[in-house]
Amino acid sequence: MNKRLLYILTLIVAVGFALALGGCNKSDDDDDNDNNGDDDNDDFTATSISFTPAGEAQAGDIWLELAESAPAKNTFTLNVRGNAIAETYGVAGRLLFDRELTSLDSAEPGDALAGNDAQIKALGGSNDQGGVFGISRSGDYTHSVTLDAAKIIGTLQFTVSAAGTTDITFNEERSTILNHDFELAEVSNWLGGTLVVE
Amino acid sequence: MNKLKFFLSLALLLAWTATAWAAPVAFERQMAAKVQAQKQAAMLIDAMRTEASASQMRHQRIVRMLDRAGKAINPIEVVETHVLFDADEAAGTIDTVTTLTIRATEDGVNTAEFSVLKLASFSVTDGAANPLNWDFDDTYLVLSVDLPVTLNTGDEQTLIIGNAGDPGCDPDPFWGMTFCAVTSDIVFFTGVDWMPMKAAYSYEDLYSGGPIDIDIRTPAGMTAVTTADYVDTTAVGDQDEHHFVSGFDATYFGMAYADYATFSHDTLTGKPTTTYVHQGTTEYAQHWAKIGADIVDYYESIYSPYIYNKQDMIQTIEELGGGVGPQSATFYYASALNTDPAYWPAESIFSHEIGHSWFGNMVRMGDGSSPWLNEGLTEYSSRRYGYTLWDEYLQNYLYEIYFRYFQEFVPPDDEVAMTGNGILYADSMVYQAITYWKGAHFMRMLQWLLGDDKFLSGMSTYAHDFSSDQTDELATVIALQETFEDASGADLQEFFNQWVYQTGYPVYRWAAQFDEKSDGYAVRVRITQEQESANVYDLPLQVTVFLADQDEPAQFAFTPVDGVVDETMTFTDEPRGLRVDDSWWIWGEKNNSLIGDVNYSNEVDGVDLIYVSWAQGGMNLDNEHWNYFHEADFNDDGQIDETDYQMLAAHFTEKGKIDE
Repeated sequence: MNKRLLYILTLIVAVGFALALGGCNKSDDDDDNDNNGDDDNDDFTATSISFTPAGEAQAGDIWLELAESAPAKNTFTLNVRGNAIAETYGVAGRLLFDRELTSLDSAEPGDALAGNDAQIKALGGSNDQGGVFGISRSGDYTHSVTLDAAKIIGTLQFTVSAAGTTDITFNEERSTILNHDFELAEVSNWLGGTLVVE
Repeated sequence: MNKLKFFLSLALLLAWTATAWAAPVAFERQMAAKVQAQKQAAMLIDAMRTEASASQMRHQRIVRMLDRAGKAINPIEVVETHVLFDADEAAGTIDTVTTLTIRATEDGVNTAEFSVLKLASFSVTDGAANPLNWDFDDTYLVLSVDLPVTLNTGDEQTLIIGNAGDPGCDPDPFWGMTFCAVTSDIVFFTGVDWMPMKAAYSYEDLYSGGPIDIDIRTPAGMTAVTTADYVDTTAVGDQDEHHFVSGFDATYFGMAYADYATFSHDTLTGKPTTTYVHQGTTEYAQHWAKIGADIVDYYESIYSPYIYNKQDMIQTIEELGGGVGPQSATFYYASALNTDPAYWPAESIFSHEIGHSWFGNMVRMGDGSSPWLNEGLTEYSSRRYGYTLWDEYLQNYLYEIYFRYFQEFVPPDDEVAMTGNGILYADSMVYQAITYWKGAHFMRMLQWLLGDDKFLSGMSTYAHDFSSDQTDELATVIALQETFEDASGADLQEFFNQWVYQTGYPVYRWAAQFDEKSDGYAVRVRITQEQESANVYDLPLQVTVFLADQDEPAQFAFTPVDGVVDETMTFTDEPRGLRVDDSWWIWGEKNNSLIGDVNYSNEVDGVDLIYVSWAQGGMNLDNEHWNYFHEADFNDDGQIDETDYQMLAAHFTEKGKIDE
């Protein structure tokens, strides 16, 4: 092997190694539990944010709908709703979406789980694959409620960080409704939607 | 890892893979059951407290009697005891005549000593009704009788002791406890102190009595039952006289009569197991008779033959509070036999008391500072039987919950070793926690350490070789250790040192990290020990990994090296959760490093929020509410409150990771 060929091969290996390292760093970044989601592009300002539900919600479904969008603030809010699902104590959702585009920052309780003087607790945040949230009755461990389409289970606050389109879907395997006896409720469809950021 | 540890780990792993795993259940169902388990366990504690209190007092009494001041060797043996029992139900008094045949064990015996609770009317005669001189030590309740003739070795003498009056059914906190009730509805006694027994000067002596036969006079039509075998009933005036004979000695005797209904079911060896229940409480009596027989069958199948001729399960009064387990007849508070058997774990009181047939009656303890040899082995047996009836995780919770109760009830400064004089004089709750709960858990750890085959080999050898029909030798901790060492080939000295002769327990802290790889997933677990004591525990640790699309979790057993487990496992399916010592093999804390991860999914998410929210306001040991999860009590202050919620919120979305 001549010196020139050896030099070229060494260079290829070195570049490949550097790229691999770069990939690992990226991967490490992805693994970070980043809850604010606004570190990717501080200079970005959206001009429009839209969300199109994945389908017509029916009884037995949990779905997302756009409650508010504020492009100037790079934020939008989704309502979580459900209909005719009996014996609901808490809803634990796991969302899949493009984290380069948006992040789930927090969750706020709605009124669908209220009753019997129970407080409603809500938490939301992002992980590397999307976001997780929980909305639950609290302080009354003996009653559940039946979800009413006219009421909001909770709201999810998002921040956008780049333009683009992403589906926001539920990871159905890992989204759950529990009653006060920790029995699983049957949900017909977990309906997400499509987010378009311009 | 040395070869022994490697071998043990491998053996345990193989044992686990060979063990059928319970039907897959949702974690949520387990959590719901866990709340109920807390409730049931609290009720069991109340029931067990009565027995634990009696157990401690009985052991104290025996120790005091053996150690009594000024005692002389009592060179006699009781060849036979016959008791004629009559009661005035309206007055609440009893009238007993005990005929004892004694035999001298050395030459020149002039006196004989007996342990007895002397009632108001008391007399001692020879077999021809000639009064004899006697003296009574009120401090130690020891009767000393001047014999009518000097006895030489082998000479026999008949003594007749009359003892009548109010039996005094109140518990005696110093001398022990006689459970009794004398009413028009029921007459029952267990731990019969009005019946003279030979005053012992050693444990061997304690068990040296001959068979006890009893005749019980009752109002006509009553049903009588006792620790001897029924022969027949004859009419004596307007009374019935029920005759019983026994082929066994007994240090713990019992009897009862009432207007009982009886229900019977034979064991596989044809021995009747019979429930005695009051009229009007018969709904589940046949079912419990069948379960009683099943319990005997189970212990026979894993331990040793049942040497008695029958097993009677006797309903007494609610105030008994728990159960007591003399040989061949066990006594229970009234509700026990009127409880729906479908109610977990309603059978536990029966499997415990019947278990005493093996540990306490057939296998007789010769080590006064180790009451766990009776109670711990019996409680272990009871829980083991429960695994044949209920889902595995429910029975596992018993081990978890009782460890939690131990932590609650036994401050570190109050803890005493399982073996030692401290246990006899500890607070009764400490006695219960150490002797029953830790004792049972000790046996479970031994099962885990040795594997079920070697463990059962040791248990059956111990139960068989020390059974009273096989030997006069009494069981001791050393004998138990040697039996298991012989059965397993393992050196158990350090294990016994740490768990039997010392206090304390391991405090494990574990962290897990799930990483996706190109060809699957890597799961790394790191378990360290952070107990304050200098002890380092090298018991293998069970690691359970829950996988997507797999009904059964993957099970591993890792042996710590220098107190630390650091292992990486690989899977093709996505890991969904990890637990350390999920089956509660080990008496100790296992703390998850990831705060907020209630369900051990290795990520703090919305399901954890539901659990913490549900448990808000829950308090440990709160008898009014059952919404407490130890897992959700992140700051471990005994209550689930806003602080725990804030801690959850602070860690929400975090995933488990291992920091180097």
